[in-house]
Amino acid sequence: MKTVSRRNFLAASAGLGVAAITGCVAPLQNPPLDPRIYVADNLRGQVVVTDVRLAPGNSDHLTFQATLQNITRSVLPVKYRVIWVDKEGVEVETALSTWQLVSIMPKDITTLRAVSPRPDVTNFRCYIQWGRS
Amino acid sequence: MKKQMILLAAAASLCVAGGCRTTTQNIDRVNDQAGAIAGFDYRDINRSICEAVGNMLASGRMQRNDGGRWVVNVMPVKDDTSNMARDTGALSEAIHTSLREELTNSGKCVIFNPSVARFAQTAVVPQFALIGTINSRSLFLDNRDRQIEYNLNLSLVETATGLEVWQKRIFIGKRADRHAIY
Repeated sequence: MKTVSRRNFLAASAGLGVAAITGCVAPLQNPPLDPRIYVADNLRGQVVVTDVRLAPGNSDHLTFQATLQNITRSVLPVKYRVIWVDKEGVEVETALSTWQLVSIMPKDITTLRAVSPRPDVTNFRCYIQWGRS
Repeated sequence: MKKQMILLAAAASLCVAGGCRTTTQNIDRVNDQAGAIAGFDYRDINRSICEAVGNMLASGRMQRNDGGRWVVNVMPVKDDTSNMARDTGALSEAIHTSLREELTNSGKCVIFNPSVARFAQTAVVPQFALIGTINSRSLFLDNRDRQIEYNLNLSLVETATGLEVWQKRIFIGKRADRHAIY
């Protein structure tokens, strides 16, 4: 009995040692997605959206900025569109809500940007899709 | 075998006579799934206006401390593109109108209309003039495909001093077949 528990103890400590050396690291978790950002199913698991900001900058027009990382090993063509909404939640119709195209190199990070068309705009919705055009 | 050949020929002739045409569709201008074209289409106009007006508004150059609006004379956009489709007036007009629309809606400026201003009872002098040109260059790649480079150049000039307070060059490039019409 005593021998078995000693063997168990040795096995457990060996396991712990191996885990410490080879990297018993928690799997990479995507940060919780901002609910105002909608990533299409055809991009799920391929991009990570981090650092979403909305600030007035030099003017009273809000500037939206988000960081998008390509976590795949291939070039990703991505298009995004920011829809602006006023304080009542009504969508503002504007040419500033046009689909914008970006290509992200493997493992690279890019910044998505948009500027609100009117000063009374208070919020946004951002749609990100796989897209080539 | 002979019957099959006759059927196949009949099907082919029917296809040629009546069927194999592209059906007319309305463009969904928000989610247009069609591929890019060599010319400067409405999507390119929207993209360039989005970039230009967004940059101008974010720069703070149109900001006025008293909350008022500037009077801006948006000059007609000069079209220097080598437009093979020969609708040069339409491109210039579309960019000009979109610029005026977005700037008016921004709440930062009022657009000066020179054609009506001469009949006005109160003289208003625009504080700014927005000057724009669009040009294109066509280059050949090594494989003889065509590369078309469009540049929309915009500058905001203070009319009292002639000083440029904001400039932006928007580049939109295309690669297409050498026979593409643009």
